[in-house]
Amino acid sequence: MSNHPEVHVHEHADAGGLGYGTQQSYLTGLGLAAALSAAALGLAAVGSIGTIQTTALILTAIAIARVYIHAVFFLRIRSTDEGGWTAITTIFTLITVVIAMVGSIWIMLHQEINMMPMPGTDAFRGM
Amino acid sequence: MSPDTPHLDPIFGRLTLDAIPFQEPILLGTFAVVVLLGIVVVGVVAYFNAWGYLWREWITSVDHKKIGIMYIILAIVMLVRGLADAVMMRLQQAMAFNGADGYLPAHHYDQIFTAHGTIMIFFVATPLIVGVMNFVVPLQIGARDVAFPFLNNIGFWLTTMAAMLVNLSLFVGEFSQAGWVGEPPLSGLADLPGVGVDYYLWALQISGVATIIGGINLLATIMRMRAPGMTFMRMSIFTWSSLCVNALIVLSFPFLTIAVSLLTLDRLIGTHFFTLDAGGNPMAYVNLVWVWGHPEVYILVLPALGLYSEFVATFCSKRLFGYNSMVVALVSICVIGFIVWVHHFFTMGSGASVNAFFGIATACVAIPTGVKVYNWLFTMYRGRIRFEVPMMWTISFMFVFLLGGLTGVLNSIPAADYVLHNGMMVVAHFHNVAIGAITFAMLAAIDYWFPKAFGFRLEPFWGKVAVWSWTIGFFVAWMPIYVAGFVGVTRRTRVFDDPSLQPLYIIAAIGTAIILVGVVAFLIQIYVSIVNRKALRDVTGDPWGGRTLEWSIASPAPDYNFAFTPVVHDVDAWADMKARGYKRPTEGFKAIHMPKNTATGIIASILVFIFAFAVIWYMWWVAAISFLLLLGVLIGHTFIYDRSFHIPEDVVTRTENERTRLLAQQG
Amino acid sequence: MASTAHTEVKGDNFHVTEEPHHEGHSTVIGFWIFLMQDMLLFCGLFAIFAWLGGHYANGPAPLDDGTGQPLFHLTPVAINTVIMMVSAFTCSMGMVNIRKENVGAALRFFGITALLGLGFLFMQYREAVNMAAVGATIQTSAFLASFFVIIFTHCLHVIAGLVWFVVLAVQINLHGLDDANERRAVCFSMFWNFLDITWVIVFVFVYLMGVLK
Ligand code: HEM
Ligand SMILES: [Cu+2]
Repeated sequence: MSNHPEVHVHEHADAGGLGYGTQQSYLTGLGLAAALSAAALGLAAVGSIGTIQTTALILTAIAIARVYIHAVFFLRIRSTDEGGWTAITTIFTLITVVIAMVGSIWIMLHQEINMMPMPGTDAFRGM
Repeated sequence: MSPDTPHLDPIFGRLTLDAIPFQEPILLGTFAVVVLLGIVVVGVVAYFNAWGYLWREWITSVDHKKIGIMYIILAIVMLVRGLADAVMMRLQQAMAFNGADGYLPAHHYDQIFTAHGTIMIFFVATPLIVGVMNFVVPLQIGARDVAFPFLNNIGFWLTTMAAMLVNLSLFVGEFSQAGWVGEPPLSGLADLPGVGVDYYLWALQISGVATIIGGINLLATIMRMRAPGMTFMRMSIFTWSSLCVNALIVLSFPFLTIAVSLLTLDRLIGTHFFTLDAGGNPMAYVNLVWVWGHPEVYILVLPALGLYSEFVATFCSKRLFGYNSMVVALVSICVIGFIVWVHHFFTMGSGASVNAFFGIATACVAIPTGVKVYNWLFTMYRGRIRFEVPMMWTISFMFVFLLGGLTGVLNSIPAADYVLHNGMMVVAHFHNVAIGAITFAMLAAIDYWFPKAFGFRLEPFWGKVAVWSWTIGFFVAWMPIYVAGFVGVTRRTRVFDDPSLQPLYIIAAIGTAIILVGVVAFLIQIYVSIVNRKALRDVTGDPWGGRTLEWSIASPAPDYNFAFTPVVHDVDAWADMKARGYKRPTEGFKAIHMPKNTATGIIASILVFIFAFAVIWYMWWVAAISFLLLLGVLIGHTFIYDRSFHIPEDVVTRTENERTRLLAQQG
Repeated sequence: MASTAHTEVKGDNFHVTEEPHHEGHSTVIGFWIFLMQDMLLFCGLFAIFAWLGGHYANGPAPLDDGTGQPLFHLTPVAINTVIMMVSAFTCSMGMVNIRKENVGAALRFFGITALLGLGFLFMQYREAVNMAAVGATIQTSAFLASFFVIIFTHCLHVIAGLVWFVVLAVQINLHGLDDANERRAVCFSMFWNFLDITWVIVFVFVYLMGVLK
């Protein structure tokens, strides 16, 4: 029956998508990734711009940009791949990552403020 | 003892004859019974010469229905083990007053409550829901198998091996004494240097990985293998909850894996993640384990809520009231379920702002849950309710769950939790839900789909006895515990100073006995039904007037499920087909493409078992060999390219003609 | 997507007579879900690092290994970042050739990827040895435990990738580039790209943030 489309890797191959970019996109990705990594490295090597917090924020932004570039130019994630499922699973995973990281750090900060310091907890680091 | 202790035996590690508890009569007795049962089972199998049959049709099977059934059998066996632990605790607690010490020494009692909790969560509740999802979901979405049949098989065997590790710890060594989430520093090497915690950690690790594997499989199945026309908003509510639950599994179990791995490292190679020295912090474990732990609670309860939705709709012969709101409620429970984990450690000291946020988020779960309860009630309103056994479980659940939900909201208030934490109130609350929502749902599901699995219905009388005993038993067993909780009794307590509490614990023990009657009634029900299977035969394949696709096919479901893949036009696809005068096709069958069985699952799982056992006992050479073999087996498996076969056309035709004949006989 | 939402379902046909061929049609999404849970494994490790990464227990710290020298040396880390980045590129170029059914070139690119992976492992090994020389091991403190466990987990992934490459090469030699092997190559390249992504996170959040003054 014709109204029963079948998904097959070869069809993906024609349409691009996961794991299938072009040499062009890969080269662009490589260039952008190199630039961003160099920027991050330079920033850390110089020490810091302004306060540690601003530097850390900039570094975070660079990391996010770098991952985004990788996802777009190398992995070629698009919202239509696999019937949209890759995008959906990625979004839910990222939400979980944010919840777990922000939540844990928040809990940890307050706990370390409220509790007696434990042995070995000499330096406090806010990340 | 650490791995490099000098007197470590190079061959047996720290395993010596002392590890076998000859001096404990209870354990020796249990061991004798287990050996006896084992001999009986082996004898029966040998008598019927069923080894080949078992191997071909079950052990190596990749059929989702059979894997589902095996999960459920595993869960029932482990339920008996978990209940035995519960009974022992209840007896101990009923006796240990007025200076009496009871019959269980602390060392033993602590292992029992840990084993009970671990078994009930990981090897009863989880396999039950995974088993039911495995059996039902592909049928409800009109699929013939699952996305990754081999992963499904290995997931089951890994779970089984993890359960076997827990059981083995009874007779070789000991089990953990640190409670079912194994929180450090108690579970660290300094406090519990024995093998108990290691058994616990490896059992959890293996079953956790198995659960993730199973979750990926079911998730991909629901995403990719629905029948044509089955859009999201046409999936049954149970399939919806399975989708959500498997997403939760994949999103939360990695945190358990990490927590357990790092604690293992602490114990095995002496790192300082959760120790009290060198900068370690046990609370980092507590935090991480509950990032997993709370979603896990919803992983267990959401399928149950999905099941009740099925039962209510079927046995009221109505479409479920508020389908859309049901879906929204499900998804929001999942999302909120990820931002409530601190309610398990309000008392840890994160302060008012953190506790307030997580407390309010917890209380918010009551909103979507309430929506679901109202939807069930509105479905029943003016429905013609048929009081079959699954529906009786459902109604009983509604009363019990109402109480469980309300006490949950009570616990969610941080200020109240400071009083209730680590007390019997919490224990009563979670048993309220674990029994009244999860266990009831699974027993109902077994009753409901039994005909689809085996071709005959379960005899209702003993089923009703089970419903009543579990329900009454639940109230008798746990209401006194609520009372104990309110007067401030702490959990995990072995002996009591205050004699006025004894009546409560005696009543609780009586309640447990009533629950046991329910369990026995359930087993009798199965036995009686097997004996009377001719009379109870389900010829139509649709014994309950079902509404979803699994009822459109024969009972028991054929290997290939659907001779033709159905096309779906509506929620409750089968009800829609019946209403529109669907005629079952009786000719034109074709050969059907199916996955092949594989032995890799069980072989690899046994190797994992040996590996874990060797690491627990520091038998490094065994660990190394089994690990290499495991790697070899798994890589070898990827060299098998020929993974499917066709069920020939004439077999399909014969099977379907048999059904045609039976239906015609029926009239 | 497969067989579902987009199918025109009309009238009263209640079943299809032609069956789709399912084999392997869920592999890519399944593997993607696996990678997502892998990402959450790393997330768990990072949560632990966020919690314990500052607990030096008077032992080595990123900027002071106890002798006044920094513990984290950025040069080798930068080299590794380049290695991972380039290997992601060569791996992707392998995929371009897979798509052109250009087996030899594909395997060559994958081979370069694997060699880069080996180089990466060597650099990590050297770093661990150098750290051990100043008494910074996984047992030393909570900070080092949470640091090394991230590094080792990443290295384990790289090792898994290398084993995978060898197996894949053998299989392509045995069976050519059939559907199954092509799917495996797709998954392999997804996996390797994922390794690079995790390395970026490690690079920025563990090393660079660690040496901020
Ligand atoms: C059916 C009858 C059951 C009885 C009589 C029973 C009895 C008990 C008792 C006496 C305890 C120890 C309480 C204490 O800390 O003093 C306990 C703990 C526990 N039970 Fe049950 N239980 C039953 C069913 C279940 C079920 C169905 C589940 C889960 C699905 C479950 C999960 C747990 C857990 C997680 C603990 C906590 C263990 C710990 O403290 O680490 N129980 N139960
Ligand atoms: Cu919770």
